Amino acid sequence: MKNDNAKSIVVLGSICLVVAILLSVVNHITAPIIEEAAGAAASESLKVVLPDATGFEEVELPEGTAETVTGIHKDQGGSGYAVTLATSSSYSQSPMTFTVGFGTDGKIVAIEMTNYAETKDFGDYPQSYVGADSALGGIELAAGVTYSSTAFKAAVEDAFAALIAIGGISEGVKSEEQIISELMADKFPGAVDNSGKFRATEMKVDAENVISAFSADNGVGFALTVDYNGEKLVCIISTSGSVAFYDLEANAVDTVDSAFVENIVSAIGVSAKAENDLKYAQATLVDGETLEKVDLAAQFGVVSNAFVITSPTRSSNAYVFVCRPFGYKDPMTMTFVIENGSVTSYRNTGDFIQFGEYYSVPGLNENEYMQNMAGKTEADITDELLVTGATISTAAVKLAAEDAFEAYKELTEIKNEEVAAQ
Amino acid sequence: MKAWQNFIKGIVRENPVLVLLLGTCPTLAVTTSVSNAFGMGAAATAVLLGSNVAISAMRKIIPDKVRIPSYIVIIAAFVTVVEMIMHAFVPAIYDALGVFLSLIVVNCIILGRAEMYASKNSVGASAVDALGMGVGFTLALLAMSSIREVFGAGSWMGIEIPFLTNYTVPILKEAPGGFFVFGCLIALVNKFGKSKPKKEFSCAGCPSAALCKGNCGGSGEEREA
Repeated sequence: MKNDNAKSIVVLGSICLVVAILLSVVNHITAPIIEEAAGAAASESLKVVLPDATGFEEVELPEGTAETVTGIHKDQGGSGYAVTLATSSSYSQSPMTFTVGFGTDGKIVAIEMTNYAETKDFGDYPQSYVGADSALGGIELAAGVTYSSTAFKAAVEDAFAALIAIGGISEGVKSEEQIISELMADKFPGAVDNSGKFRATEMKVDAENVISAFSADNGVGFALTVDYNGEKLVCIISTSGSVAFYDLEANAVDTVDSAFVENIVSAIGVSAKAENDLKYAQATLVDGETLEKVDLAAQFGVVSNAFVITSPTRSSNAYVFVCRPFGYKDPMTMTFVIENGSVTSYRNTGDFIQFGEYYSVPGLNENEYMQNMAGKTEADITDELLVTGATISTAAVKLAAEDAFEAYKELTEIKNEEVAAQ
Repeated sequence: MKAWQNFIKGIVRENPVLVLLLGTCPTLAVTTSVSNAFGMGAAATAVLLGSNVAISAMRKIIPDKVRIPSYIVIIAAFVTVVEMIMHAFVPAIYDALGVFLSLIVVNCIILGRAEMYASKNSVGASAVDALGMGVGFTLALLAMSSIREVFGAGSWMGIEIPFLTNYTVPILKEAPGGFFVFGCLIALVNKFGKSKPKKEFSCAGCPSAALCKGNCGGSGEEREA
């Protein structure tokens, strides 16, 4: 029996060794040819994206250029630049390579896809970049395509950055709408999904000073543009009670008077969202316990509401945090009870696929995962919580736990200050 | 004569695609054009030949318990070799076949011939079997792709056919058209095929043999009798 096993190991190991040698020999022969062909295709693509070019001169990449930029080629005739790009490996196993032609006015004149092992069907998405400058106004990420549009957009942004760095083109001017949209995404991370997209729906608000308003799709708050004494400001309101104002240069504005704030908060109906979250928070209580909503001052993550627990058995430092992070696609709803710096209860609620409902990941099921959360402190919220292959996004659970602890810290610091003041 | 019969059986009587119904996935996927079908057929034949010869040569030294992993490693090696060669020398076909080229590793025809034939027969016979099966696979793909490209796109090998270009049946280029042509070809082969393929398996290889004791319809030999 032992001999059989040894023989199996030796034979299979030998086969693998011979195969590895064979493949390395073939790779040694074919790799230069493949590389040469790829180079020829890239050169060919330079002429495709800048057809009027008289000849190309390779420009040295400036310091700090992203690795997605594989080459910058300047037309000797002065019609512009052709930049060869390969998307980052963090988005897909094999890189997507393409060449972008830039005119002297800093706008994209053409895009040529040169290679991508996983698909040849890129649809119309790449062509939507033609005519765009470095502001990339109106360029959205594409859904339902068999490649990463995030990777594509990031590579194009890197190309613009490299060309601006060498002084080849000037920076594009962002439209006000674009500035506002980016500002909202930047200042309200709780409403940004896994792909980096700010997910919100425009809503009507019956208030005099509100220019436009958006409600986050995961219900964590609102982003508005308001007219405050003739100045246009971006206002972020989380359902947990935090309110912040920014000017269009992303500077915080803390001089807005409270009556103005109250008027907006009541107009958009923040309290209705709190009523909804109260139901989820109440499900975490045991007999004899009650909840009271507490406002957070500076939380714009995925915590949609916080409640303090009044209980005969718990300490006064017990809170329920209702969190609504984006899962793989849609928002999830989950509650964390944090008491004296550690999680005492975590549960998933709302409508989403539960762990193990369709298939189980070895060593993971919903109950076990939820129970394992008990006792975790802020320091325990690490990548160890991430589980590959689970039917819900454990990255969303981790994000929610991090934000819940942030909110907990804010509340306990306030309480400590109050105690110290007494 | 025996070698010739061994070769010819893969083309007609035991055609892997139209009689044994193996390799259906690449068959449906790549038969939208004749050049793609030819590329896939040639690639699969090369892998079949290499893997059958290698497995047959090593059949006495590969222990039974690791035979499937060993076969897969060998097949994957040949697929990777073919893939690298095609990438280097015929990049257009390599690009057109895309992921289906890598998926030859899991093509039932390759593993099926390794398990059913190469592991039990000599190197020469296995090579002839691989060539027969490979040619049969290629011819089936060519037949299907010819119908789909001629009537679906009005061309053959990319060459436009006058008149037909104006009266194409676009659905033939799509998945439903592929299934339709596939079904028609199977029906034709069933109708005009002279004899059924001889089964190369018996109750001995069946995991339920101990339970049913041949009562499911008799042993393989009895059924054939």
